[in-house]
Amino acid sequence: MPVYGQTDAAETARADREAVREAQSDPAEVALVDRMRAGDEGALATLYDRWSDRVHALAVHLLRDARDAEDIVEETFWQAWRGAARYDAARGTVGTWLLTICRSRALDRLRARRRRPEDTSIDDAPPAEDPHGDPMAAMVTSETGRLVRAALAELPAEQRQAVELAYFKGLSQSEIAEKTGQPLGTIKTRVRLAMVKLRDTLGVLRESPL
Amino acid sequence: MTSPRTHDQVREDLGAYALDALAPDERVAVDAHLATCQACRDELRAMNEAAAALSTVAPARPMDPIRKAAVRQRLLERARTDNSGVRPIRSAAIPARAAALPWWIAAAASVAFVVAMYQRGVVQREREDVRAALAAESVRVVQLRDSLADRERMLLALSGADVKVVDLVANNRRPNARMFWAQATNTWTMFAHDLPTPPAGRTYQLWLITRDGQRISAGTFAPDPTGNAVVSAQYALAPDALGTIAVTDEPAGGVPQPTGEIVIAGQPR
Repeated sequence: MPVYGQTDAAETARADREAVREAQSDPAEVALVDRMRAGDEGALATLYDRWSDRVHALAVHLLRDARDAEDIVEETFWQAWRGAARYDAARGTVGTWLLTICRSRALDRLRARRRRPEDTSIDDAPPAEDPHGDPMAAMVTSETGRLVRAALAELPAEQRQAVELAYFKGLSQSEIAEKTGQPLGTIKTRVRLAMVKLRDTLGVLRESPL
Repeated sequence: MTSPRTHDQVREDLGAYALDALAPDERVAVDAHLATCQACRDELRAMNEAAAALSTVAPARPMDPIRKAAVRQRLLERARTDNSGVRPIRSAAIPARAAALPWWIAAAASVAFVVAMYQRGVVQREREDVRAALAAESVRVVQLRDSLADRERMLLALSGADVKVVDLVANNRRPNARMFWAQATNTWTMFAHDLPTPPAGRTYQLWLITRDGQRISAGTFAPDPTGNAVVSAQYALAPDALGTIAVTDEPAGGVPQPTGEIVIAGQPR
């Protein structure tokens, strides 16, 4: 419901607080993983209802294929079910865990595609950010997305490229060095600086008073 | 042998670690340090969150509601089977491309769609009815696709070069069964015949018994009214580890170890 008379700054602050909540551990979600560990299928259903769209968005973004993305969504939640005992809240939120599983499975599939020469090379796929593509591309999934996009836009182009090749294409630092023709040490520096910047962006949000 | 890294060296690698962009030996070195350094574990958590946050720039792509519901249903079925102690056979993905559909399924969906379009112009109530029917028809299409995929998978599980066949028989009685063990995929498919309906509170339970005496439950089942049953399970077993396959009569819900009478049993040839 709109609040009339709210300033732009107040609106931005509200959005930032929303982003903070997204970045922090949600005890209710940790409890869902605990219940899955105990074999509670209802907890799996609830986690799926909460996260399947986000997981699907990432899978489509990485794979550019609806059928493959759907497979990855199913495999992500299945792996979460089977591996609930291995979830460690100290290493990240439940959402981070699910998205990490999704990315890992999707990148496995991308690598398998690379080994099949008859398939389209991932290099032929649209770039990770394609503002001129599908109109939906203009939408980001959350306020965190808006902030991360802004943080990425502020990075020097070569740092942004390095981190995008690593995250969205699954390339190692050595592979990025080979692909870009830059020394490995240079790539390591770019990745490090970019990740510190992203970490600080989220860190500042967490430290802001709610 | 990887030389130990200093705290500062590891710290510099944590961003790449979170992106899974380190070389394997670098990753091992970071893991070794993380095991002893709380500060680096805290920093890694922040880096993990930063890496996962990159996913949020992916444009929203909501799943088709029917397909989303179908995936949800499959996951829950797999979880239920998992809870019952039998590793489920993974359901095939729903084919996304219309060209992959048999013509009669595509035709059925098309007819339902045309009907829905016609009804839209009549009255609101009828439109809602047709919409519900269309949704039900779409679910049925998905189920038919799954069913076809299941049959294709079963054919593979019965006919591959790696399939070992074990006959299960009873002593002077009619029940019998044949187990097809597809070793490449660890898939077990048993067809049983002439099984009497178990009395109330009882069930049949399938066991894989290894040469060294380990008794592995492959699930409980009941025959249909004609005495037939098809049981599928997935379990990894070394090619020469199988000693006996048996079906026993057990209390409803099954038991961790066999306690009842052996109904049929067989050994690999």
